[in-house]
Amino acid sequence: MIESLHEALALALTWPNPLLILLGTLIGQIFGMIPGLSGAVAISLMIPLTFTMPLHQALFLLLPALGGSAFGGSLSAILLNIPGTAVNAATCFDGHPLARQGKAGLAIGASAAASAGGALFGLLVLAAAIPVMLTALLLIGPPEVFMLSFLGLCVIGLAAQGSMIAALLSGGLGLLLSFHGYISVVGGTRFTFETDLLWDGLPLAPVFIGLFAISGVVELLSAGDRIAGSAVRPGRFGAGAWQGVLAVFRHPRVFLSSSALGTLVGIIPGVGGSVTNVIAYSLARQSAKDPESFGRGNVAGVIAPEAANDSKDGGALIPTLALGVPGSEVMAILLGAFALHGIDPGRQMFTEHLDLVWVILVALVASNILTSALGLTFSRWLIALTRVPVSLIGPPILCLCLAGAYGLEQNPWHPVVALIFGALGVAMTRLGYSRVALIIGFMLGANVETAFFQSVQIARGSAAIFWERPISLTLFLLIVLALALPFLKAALRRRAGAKESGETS
Amino acid sequence: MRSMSAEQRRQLAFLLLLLGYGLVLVVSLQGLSEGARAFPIIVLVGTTLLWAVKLAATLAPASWRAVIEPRGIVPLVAAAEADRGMAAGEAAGETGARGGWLLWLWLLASLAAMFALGFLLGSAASVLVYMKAIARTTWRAALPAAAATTAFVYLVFAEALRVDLGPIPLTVLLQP
Repeated sequence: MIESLHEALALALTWPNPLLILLGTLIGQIFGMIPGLSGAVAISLMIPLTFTMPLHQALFLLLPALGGSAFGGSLSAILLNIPGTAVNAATCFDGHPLARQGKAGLAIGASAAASAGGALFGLLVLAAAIPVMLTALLLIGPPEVFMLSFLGLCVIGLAAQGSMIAALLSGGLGLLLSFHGYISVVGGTRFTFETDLLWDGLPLAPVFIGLFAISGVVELLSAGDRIAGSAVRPGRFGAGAWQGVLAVFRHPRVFLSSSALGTLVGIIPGVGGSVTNVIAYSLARQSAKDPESFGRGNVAGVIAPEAANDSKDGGALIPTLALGVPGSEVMAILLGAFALHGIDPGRQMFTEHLDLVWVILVALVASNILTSALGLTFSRWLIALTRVPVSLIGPPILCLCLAGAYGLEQNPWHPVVALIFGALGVAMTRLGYSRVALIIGFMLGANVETAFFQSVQIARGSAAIFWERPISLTLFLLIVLALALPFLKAALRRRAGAKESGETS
Repeated sequence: MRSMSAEQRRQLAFLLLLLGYGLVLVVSLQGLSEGARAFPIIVLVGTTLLWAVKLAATLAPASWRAVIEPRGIVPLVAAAEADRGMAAGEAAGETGARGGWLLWLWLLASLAAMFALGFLLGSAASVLVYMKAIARTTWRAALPAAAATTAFVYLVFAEALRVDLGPIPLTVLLQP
């Protein structure tokens, strides 16, 4: 294990990898900072560029974008009161009031230190979990993988901020889309409509580019003339970035509890970061001695969501790498990058490709430290990008999307696929469906089907195997609970409402 | 149909699109081996049930919608944020509905230009057309943006990745 770590560190320092890490971090930070774009958009756009690279170089470019985008999003949340990405929503609550008081430097410093520290916390947990995972994975067979994948999809419904049914339906659509093309479990092809285009299934990169990059930029162009809006005035920087860094050390309980929470929530497949940051913020407020100061510029209200935000990636990598079950859209896209480079996640990831796991860890640690340093140094200039008219950056990005979709395999139908998925992405966003659930279902499809077939074969055709094994049964009960909870909660709320109105009358 | 809101009509159109896709898959199941169609049938059944619930929720009166399709369990703060986000999204959706068709038309024309002229000239032409005809920016803004896009596409795709950037003959396009 130590050898693999040394190897990964040596690789990270070998030219041109430091440049790739810097480039990935900067691109991620800029995309994270611009509301409407995100780390998922940045990674989708960069996948075609990495196809000719060795996998470790691809990871050194793609993963830093993940680290960079989360912190980039917090800069626009603090300075403009607009979360750059959904995972930074809670950072606005106290970050922007601090900026309005002329203490943006303090908030950015706290955000930088909490982000870097939270990421390190999550990645340390992942590193410590590697030996445990090797043992735990022996207990997990096809029925458990099948149930865990379905639990991931159901939890997306549970954590959906809109309709639960729409989120589940999106996941189902993702599964159906994954059925096109070659079937590895039984051989042959299906749903190809006699075209070569679908023989290998829907092309991954054009699907990602369409669903996230094209739809994101189209929404941005549809929304207005300037990303930040002309009415938005950036908060004042002031001094005190180092005071912000020190504030994290002055709030060790908030930092550690939020980091632990982020890592734990990250491990649950499907939940993603948009929930983590608000839960961490709520907990920090509830457990504070002065909860009334939250929302008015309490630095702990910046530390909690930012630490949770970045620590979740370490947790989310555990099911992604160990079981091929992605925890978020970025993890699903990362799985796609693995697939394009011929790497299958699972136990072999920790036995045959342990060096890659360490490359992932080193890339994320380096990018998280780098993004915080860049943010502290250059944020006052970088934030000017959000004042650029969208008509200046939107069309070039859309042209790059089409060229990128074509460039990977030089298939002229791939940009058409990207456009179709771009339209689907826009429709889903506007109608309250979940693109995250769709992409996770799409990436899970082949794994779920293989696990289903293997389970049925082990049980000689009986479906009882899914509830006869203890871990599988537990996961099955959790699925039932995940599906029932929103209905129960809604029923209880209606009952309480009826009781209240009865008492009033 | 006349009593439906615009939102309900949009939801219904999307559900009909999903139904069409599902029906195509059901028809394509014919002729597949038992192994190849077993799991898709399970997923199709589950997805159809969800589709039916969503359809019922779309057609039901507003007071019934929360009963048929509850929201996910999220902390109260997140729910409030989501409401704010959804309101902003709806506002964007309204703006988009006005400018949306032109944007998609431009995207399709851009792709056609990239196929006909190659990705280098096509990208430059697309950026110029958008910035001058749709966004109505100045030449001082449009020309550097078009040149930068073309240079980036050339350096990354033609030089670094050795991609043949076209033009793409019609015969290649007609053989998917």
